[in-house]
Amino acid sequence: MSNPYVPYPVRIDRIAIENDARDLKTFEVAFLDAEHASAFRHTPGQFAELSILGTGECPIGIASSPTEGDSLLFTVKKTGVVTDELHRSREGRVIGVRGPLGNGFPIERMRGKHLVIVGGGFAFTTLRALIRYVLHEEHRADYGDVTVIYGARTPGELLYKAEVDEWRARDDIAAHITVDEGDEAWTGHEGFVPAVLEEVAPSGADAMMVLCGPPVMIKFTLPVVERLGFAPADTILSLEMRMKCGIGKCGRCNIGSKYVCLDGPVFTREELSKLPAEY
Amino acid sequence: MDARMLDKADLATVLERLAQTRRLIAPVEDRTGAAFASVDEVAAIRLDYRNTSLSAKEIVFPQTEPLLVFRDGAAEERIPAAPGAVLFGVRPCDARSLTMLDAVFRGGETEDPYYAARRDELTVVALTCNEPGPTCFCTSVGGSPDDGSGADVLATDLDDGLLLRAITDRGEVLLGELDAGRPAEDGEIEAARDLAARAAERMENVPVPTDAAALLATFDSDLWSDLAAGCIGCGACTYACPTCHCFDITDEQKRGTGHRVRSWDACTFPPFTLHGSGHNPRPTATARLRQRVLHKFSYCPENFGEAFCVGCGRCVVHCPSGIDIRRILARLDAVLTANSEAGGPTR
Repeated sequence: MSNPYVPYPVRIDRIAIENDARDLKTFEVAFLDAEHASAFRHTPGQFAELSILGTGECPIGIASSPTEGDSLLFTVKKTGVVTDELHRSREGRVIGVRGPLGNGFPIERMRGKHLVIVGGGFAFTTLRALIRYVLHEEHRADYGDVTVIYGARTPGELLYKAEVDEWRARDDIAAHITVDEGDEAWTGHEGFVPAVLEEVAPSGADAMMVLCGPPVMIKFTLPVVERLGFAPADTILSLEMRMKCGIGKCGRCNIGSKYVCLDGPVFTREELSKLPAEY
Repeated sequence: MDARMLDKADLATVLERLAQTRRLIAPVEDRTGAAFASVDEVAAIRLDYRNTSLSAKEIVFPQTEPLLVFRDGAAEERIPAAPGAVLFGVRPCDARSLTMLDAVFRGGETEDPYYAARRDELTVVALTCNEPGPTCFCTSVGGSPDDGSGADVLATDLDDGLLLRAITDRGEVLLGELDAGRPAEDGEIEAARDLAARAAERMENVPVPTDAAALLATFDSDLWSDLAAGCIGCGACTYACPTCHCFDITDEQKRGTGHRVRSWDACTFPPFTLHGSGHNPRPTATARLRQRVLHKFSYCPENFGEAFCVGCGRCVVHCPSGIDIRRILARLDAVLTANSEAGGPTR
């Protein structure tokens, strides 16, 4: 049996600075051992523990879709001890990855449904994985209309800019990008995510809603989601929680009887309604 | 199953012999009264103790242990080698707690290899209780002074003799190895049962709420700030508790060489759930104490089918603020009973 605490060694092949504040970087990592690459089979919405020996570990959502090959993408905000050290890394550095962890988005249950994917800020990372998965030529026909609403505070804080521009040019996805506050160069939409969602008004019929963002965005978006007719069982959220083991042993990330690392991080609103509001 | 009667005068010799082939872990006298230790000197073992100050969980789940050792960027796992250990003379409450730790560390999709390596090699001899301690309440939470859960052999102190009853195959193997004493008589087994029954009668009967969902429904009740009043978040209850199993993982490094270490943690510590963003989903002592109680009495019953409390009473002894889990349970039970009679929600 393999030891769940031993990380797979991976090499950082590419580092992209994502935002003007330079505190969000995307790390593309490749497994040193091909066997590890084939053992690591993830679903959009899952996460991994990024591991730097001597510094520690932190749980980060996987920003790449399994359809993108064996490399993995992680978009990391510089926040604490481990993420600071990651941000100091250069390309070529070997770090560790433990995972994939968590349940991921219910891609099977989403089949045949229209998808409305709403994201705010840097919570957009696992939504990127989902969008890339759904847009893949082998999967696109399995899903109905795909509507994306993505907001950031400023244009400089938008993640994956080139890719998002590509989506806007495609006709098999409707991508609505908004910023709270534009600058001189910004010609796109200005406004908060809930307002844009209300304006775009995708129907909740035969549709599922995936919602990831800061608590304040979630709070003001949920009433709109309800008005549009998305049932609690079809409204999907992804939670964050402080974690250590990632395998349901260390007792740190529970909400009621559920562990975010095992039973989550993806929950439906219906599931969350049965849990204490302790997240 | 085999039951043997061992003359107490022979016990030292028998254990001496055992210690030559097995790692013998037993209660020995220390400044706290008694504590489990690897025994080289059999004479140090004392079986006249009420209970150890700290539980036996550290035998299978040490307070701190290296998970990985790393040097120059390469990590190596450190699975403990614990061949053939015998935990001799642990109280039945602590033996039972091992079944709960088993459920956490061995259950689910992923087994914890560190725990498994220690547990696989452990034979547990539980010493039944003739005299309960002042904070014991095992009978209120599904245990008893001669409960065999988690044990391989039940030992009972019958004044001049030690009755040893094998209750698992592993226990049978151990008794075979000891190869001592004589077959026990029915009357001696009967006497051991009587002693345990009398000990059970002397224990306080604590009303323990068993409806996991009803307990969860108290989540937003004001009652919790009352129950948690005085909690200073020291974590003593969690360290002393035989079923508390939360841990932290940290890295320690010196000049390119280091360890990834697992150590006990406590849900009553404020940083336990503190996010990198500064957000803390359990920002108050009340929320943290509520977590500890509901984890044991609502979430664990939901996930593992039983409350994670063996009634050892250590948390009562160690709390510097006098918080008493027995009073908390009794109060919750009273509130739930009143509510169910009134048919109303928990307030």
